[in-house]
Amino acid sequence: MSDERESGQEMEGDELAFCKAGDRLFRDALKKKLSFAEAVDAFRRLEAEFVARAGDDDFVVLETRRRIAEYILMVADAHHPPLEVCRQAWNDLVCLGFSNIGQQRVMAWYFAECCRYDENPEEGLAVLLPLVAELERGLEEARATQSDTDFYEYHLEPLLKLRDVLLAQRRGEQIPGKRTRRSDEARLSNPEEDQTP
Amino acid sequence: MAMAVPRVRTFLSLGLLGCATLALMPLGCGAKITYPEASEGPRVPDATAERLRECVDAFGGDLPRGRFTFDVALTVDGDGHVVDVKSEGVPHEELAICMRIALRGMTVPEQLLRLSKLRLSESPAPTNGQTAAERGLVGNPAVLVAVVVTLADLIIEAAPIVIVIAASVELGKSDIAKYRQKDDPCQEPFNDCLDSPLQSKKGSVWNNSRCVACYHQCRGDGKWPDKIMMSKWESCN
Repeated sequence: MSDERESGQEMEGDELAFCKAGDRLFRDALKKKLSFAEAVDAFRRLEAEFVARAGDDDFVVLETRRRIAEYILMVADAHHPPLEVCRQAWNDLVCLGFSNIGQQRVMAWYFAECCRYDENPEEGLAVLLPLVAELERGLEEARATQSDTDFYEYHLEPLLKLRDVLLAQRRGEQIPGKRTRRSDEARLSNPEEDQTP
Repeated sequence: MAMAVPRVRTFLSLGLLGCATLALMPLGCGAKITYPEASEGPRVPDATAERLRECVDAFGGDLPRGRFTFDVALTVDGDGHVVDVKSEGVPHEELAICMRIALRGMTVPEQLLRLSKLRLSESPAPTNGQTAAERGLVGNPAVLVAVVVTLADLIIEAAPIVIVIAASVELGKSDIAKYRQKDDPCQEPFNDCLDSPLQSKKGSVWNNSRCVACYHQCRGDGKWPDKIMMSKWESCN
């Protein structure tokens, strides 16, 4: 079952300050007010500031580093830098570990989405399939013990959707309505021909 | 005496010509555009206002003396183009047609389409029994029902008549959704979330806000969630 913290409460102190600053940076990156490189620089400065504030609190230091690595992967998802850059962001996050399986599912989705965009289904599936298997095992166990299955179903749904798209890519099928690097480059060359949302 | 007759004829001819000219001249070449002093919010673009004034110049002379309020409802697509015009209170068919053509050529400014900035009109000039609230913003972007924005009343004075044009702009649900989701279905709701009290709520892990947690779910689902699962279900709106 989920080991997520008690939700619904207000943040305060450094946690609130970190989230406000990080969310604002992420918003600016989404709006393309910041380039990918600028956003990474800004997030690294934020990381340095809040790691220093955390002092000897190893838990807060680690969680701060994880959140920064997650923001960078999310910006990679939005800006579509080369796949190597997205892969590096994912590897940085893997080195730091995940706060819980829910967070691992979320971040694996971002990396697999990078792979889908670059039409590299094998690499995306390599990350997704073990996680899908783990969540499906959890789901089976929950059913067997008549426990709550919501957690597993909730986290499986987006992974299964993306897995199916990657499997279709592997079979060489065109995925309607999904942008890829190739389609975006084609659109830049022939803007009037683009029909992809 | 014999010389007086041609002079009188000339004088009468010029007089008749002057009268005929005055009778045929469109009402109020000097029709004047004003807005209520206390009006706030968006207005009909100047170019459209000028075209409406020309309509009044051309056909207003056929109206009896008095004050007329024309209610105009514009339906606008996601790009700000007027796709439909409905008018009420225009007791002159040609004037109504002229006004509809003028309004159909109007392009709604982009800032008007930015729903996060839309506010209830505070126009102090209710018309045809409608209050400002009735003519104002109906619904809100968060629930994605139809949104109606009331423009400031446009007043065209062409003595002895005064014409008040009370225009509202309606964005249908699909158009709002299309506009907001043009690039990314998660970006605008994320912005809205950061501007709401949810911004300071805890997310699913340490140093993580509710808004970011909702954004994750949006990326996975392709639409902003109503709620997300944390230790219990929590709202994203």
